[in-house]
Amino acid sequence: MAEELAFARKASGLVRGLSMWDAFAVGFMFVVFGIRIFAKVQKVVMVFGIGGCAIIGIALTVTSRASFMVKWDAWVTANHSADLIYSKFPAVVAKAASVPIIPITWNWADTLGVMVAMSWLFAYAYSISFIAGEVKRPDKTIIMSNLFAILVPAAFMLWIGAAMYHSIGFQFLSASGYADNNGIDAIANLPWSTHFVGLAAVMAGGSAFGKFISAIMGLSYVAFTLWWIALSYLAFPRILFAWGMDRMGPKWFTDINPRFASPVKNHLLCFVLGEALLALYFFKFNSTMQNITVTGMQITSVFAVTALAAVLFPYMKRSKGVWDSSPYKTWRFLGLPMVVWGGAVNLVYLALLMYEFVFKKAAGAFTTGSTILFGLVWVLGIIWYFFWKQRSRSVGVDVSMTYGELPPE
Amino acid sequence: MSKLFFVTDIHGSNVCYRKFLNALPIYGADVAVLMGDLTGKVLVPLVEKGNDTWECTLMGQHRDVTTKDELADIKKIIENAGYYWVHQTREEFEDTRSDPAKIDALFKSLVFTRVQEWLDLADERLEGKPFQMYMCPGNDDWFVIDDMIDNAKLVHPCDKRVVQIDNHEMVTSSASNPTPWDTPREMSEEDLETHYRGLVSQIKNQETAIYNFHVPPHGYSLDLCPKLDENLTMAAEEKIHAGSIGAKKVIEEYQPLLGTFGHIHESRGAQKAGRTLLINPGSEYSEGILKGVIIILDKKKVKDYVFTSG
Repeated sequence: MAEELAFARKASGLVRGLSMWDAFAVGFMFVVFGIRIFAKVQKVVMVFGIGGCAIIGIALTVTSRASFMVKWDAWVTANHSADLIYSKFPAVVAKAASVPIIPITWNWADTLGVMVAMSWLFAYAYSISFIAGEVKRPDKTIIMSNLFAILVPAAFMLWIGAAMYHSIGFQFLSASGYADNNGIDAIANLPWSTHFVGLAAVMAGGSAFGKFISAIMGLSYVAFTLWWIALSYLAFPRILFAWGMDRMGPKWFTDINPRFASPVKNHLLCFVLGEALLALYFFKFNSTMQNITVTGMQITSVFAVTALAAVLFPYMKRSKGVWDSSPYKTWRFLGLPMVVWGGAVNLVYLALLMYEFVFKKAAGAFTTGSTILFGLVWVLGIIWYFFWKQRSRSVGVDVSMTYGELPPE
Repeated sequence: MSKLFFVTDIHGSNVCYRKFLNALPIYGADVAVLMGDLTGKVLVPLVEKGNDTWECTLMGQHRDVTTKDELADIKKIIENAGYYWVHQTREEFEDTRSDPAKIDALFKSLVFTRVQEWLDLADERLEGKPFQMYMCPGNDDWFVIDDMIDNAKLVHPCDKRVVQIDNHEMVTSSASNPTPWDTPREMSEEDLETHYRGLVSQIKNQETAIYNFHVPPHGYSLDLCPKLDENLTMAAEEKIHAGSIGAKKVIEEYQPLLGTFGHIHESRGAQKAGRTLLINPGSEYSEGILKGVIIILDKKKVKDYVFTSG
């Protein structure tokens, strides 16, 4: 039985790995050959995805705790896991997790830990910045999009969080979260994991209508994932393209293929690198490459720098003209421009996240290997910068001057 | 080897023009080319309210100006964005507003005054300096501006003629294909192609030539702009090629070394058309940012190029 279980887990892992590669390949195809199609598809996905989330929210809201307990017990019993009934599940998970008991109410440490997941709320606003040049009236659209990119997911998360607290209960929720994140053997017989979509599917029940609702919820998750991968993929070659334009990378990063009107060579490089890194992540350096080297890298290299820029922006002499002509100059709170508040709040939040990463081992895999990798990426980045700066200087171009502020008088 | 600094479409922005002049020693350019459009697009009347106070509408916002310092600041913002300001009493404002001919005359006089100020400033700044500066209009610019550039002391005109830049002949055209705005230098595609052919036929060595056309060639990534609807509102998702078919034909046929273009502000980039390197540095004049490109020209090739943003 143990061998069969191990084989099943390996096979399931391989399928997950292949799915990642497939999804990445779909993202590549969209970006290189079908950005117009993607532009149309993404609207459908967005409606479908938000609709699916709404169904999940409704399922969680209308189900009482008693009803969930009955449905859960019936579901686990039908799947040969009677020892996982509602009253026993937290204890089984606590045993697997080697902790005396799953917490029965909230605490600050875990709440701050959850902020790692919350950071993805900012990811949507982050995506908007990559497509900022391609929207109508960016002066209005970007501001509104950033605002709604936070408000809409936040509203959904508050709603779904409150509904789960009500219908599932804190302790069971903690246990199901642990079981889903860590894939414990005890839930191996269950047909799907105990994530929030899975719990909502249990509530929807096994009737034809319940299965239909579950399918919608599951498909919305898959559709959103594909959309997210394509969007993330869009960002990667754009960064390389910008490097090429700024002479901080080879010129061919910017070579436009006349047939597809896109930098196909650049996209192919990103595709190959992306697939190779996925393989490394999946098969070799899973714990080393997650959290600190991905989200931690984003925090230090992108979000924190942007937040700091937002705090300083209204007071910088070099950007005075831009700030003076901004329609948002008059948006103030307690005497300070709103952009300063936004940047400051973001910096505090990012500092909390980094604290969780560095000092709370439970929040992520902050291992020696991941620290070395984190440092290595920074060092390679710095070497890359100075190499290309020197190379450009050798042909007569000083890149530090070409993007510096010119004297305006 | 020479270093060419190319900038286009600053549309009346004082700050961009001053940055352009200041950039020459900073970037170490040997030759600078400022291509049109030189003309701005907006006139902002500063209407007197009495007791040293004024009001105006700027970028869609009504503003009350209550001190002379504030007035000086707002004039600077207007000039830096490429707009023009004029002091008016309420009566003058109402009188001008109701008469399109008066608006036109006032606008033109402000445009010409600014171009003349620019040329005078260049004379002042370039005196005794080793840089060569060329200037040419764009399709938005009235023909009077050609005469002003022709009469400048240190700024050299280059429109509709071939000039020598080191080892390279550069031919320039300020004309454009038809636009939705019916600007002064528009031609039908057929006439434009004939015009281009007439110009490039004056070049002795196409292999080292530079085509400095205001409008980029049609169908490349340098001429993509948002599609406009019947109200001239930009479509968010649909982009169209707005470049010249005539320019495309001439470039693909003669294959010069380099093509420098403007006109489509949002299509900053570089692309190859056969052996020809096509470059549009784009424009963000309204933000006070000087977009440009430095091109390192070797005897028979483009050694390198880098886009600038200052």
